[in-house]
Amino acid sequence: MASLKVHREESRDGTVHFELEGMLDAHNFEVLEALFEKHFENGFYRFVVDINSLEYVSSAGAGVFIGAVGMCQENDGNVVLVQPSHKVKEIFELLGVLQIFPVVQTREQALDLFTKRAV
Amino acid sequence: MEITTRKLLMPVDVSQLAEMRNQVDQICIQNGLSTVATRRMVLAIDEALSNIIEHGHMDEGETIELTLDISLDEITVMLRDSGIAFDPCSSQRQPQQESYPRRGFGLYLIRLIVDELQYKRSDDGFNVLSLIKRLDQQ
Repeated sequence: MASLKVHREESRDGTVHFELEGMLDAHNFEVLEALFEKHFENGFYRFVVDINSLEYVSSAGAGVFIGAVGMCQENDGNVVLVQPSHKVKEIFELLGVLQIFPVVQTREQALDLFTKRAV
Repeated sequence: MEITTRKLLMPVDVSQLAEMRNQVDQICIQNGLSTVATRRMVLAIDEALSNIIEHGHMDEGETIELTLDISLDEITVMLRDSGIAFDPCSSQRQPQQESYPRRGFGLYLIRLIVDELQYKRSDDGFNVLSLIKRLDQQ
C-alpha cells in the first residue's frame, strides 16, 4: 500500500487528533474515510488533523477531507488542518477548497479554536 | 525540435500508483521540467490513471500504456487502455464545493493542470487519452 500512517488520539473534551504521514491517494483514501466514519458513528465531530508530514494527496484523498468537513460542520464541529505542507496546500488551493477548512500552524492553536467555539 | 519519448506500463492496480508517480516524477525532472510543472503533471497523470482503473472495468493483469513525449516547450502524455469507452472531454462538470462532494474532482484537476485534453477511441478498441501541457507557461 502507498504508505500512509495515521496516528490517532482522542481527547477528554471530545476532540480527535489525527497525525498523517506519507501519501493519501486512490489506493488508501478509504482507510482515512473509514476512520472518520467510525468517529462520526461515535458522535465525534471535532477533528484536529496534522498534515505536515503528508507528502502527497490526490483528489480521492482531498475528497475525504471535504466530505468530513461537511459532516462535521453540519454537526457543530469542524476539521482543522494543522501545518499543511506546501505541496498539499497547493493541491487544496488548486481545487479551490482550502478556504472551507480552518488552517493553523500548531495543534494548540487548533484546540484554542474549538475552546473558543470560533470554528 | 528534439523530443524525448519514454514508455511505461501501469498495471490495472491502484496499489501501483505510488510507483508510477515516482517514475513519472523522475522522467519529468530528468528532462528539464520545473519542480512545479513536474508535481502538477504527476498529479494529473495520477488522476487520469485512477479514473481509468476505477471506471474502465478492465481485468486484472491488463495494463495501461503511458507514452511521455517531452520537448523543450511541451509535454504530451498519452494513456492507452482497453477499458470501456469513456470520453473525459465530454464532461465539463465542476464539483460544487458548497455541497462538500467527496468525489468527482479528478477530471476537474486534470483540466486545471493541462492545456489540452484529447480523447479518441481507436479503431482497434482502445481509449487513447492525451494530456498536453505547454512548458513555456511554467
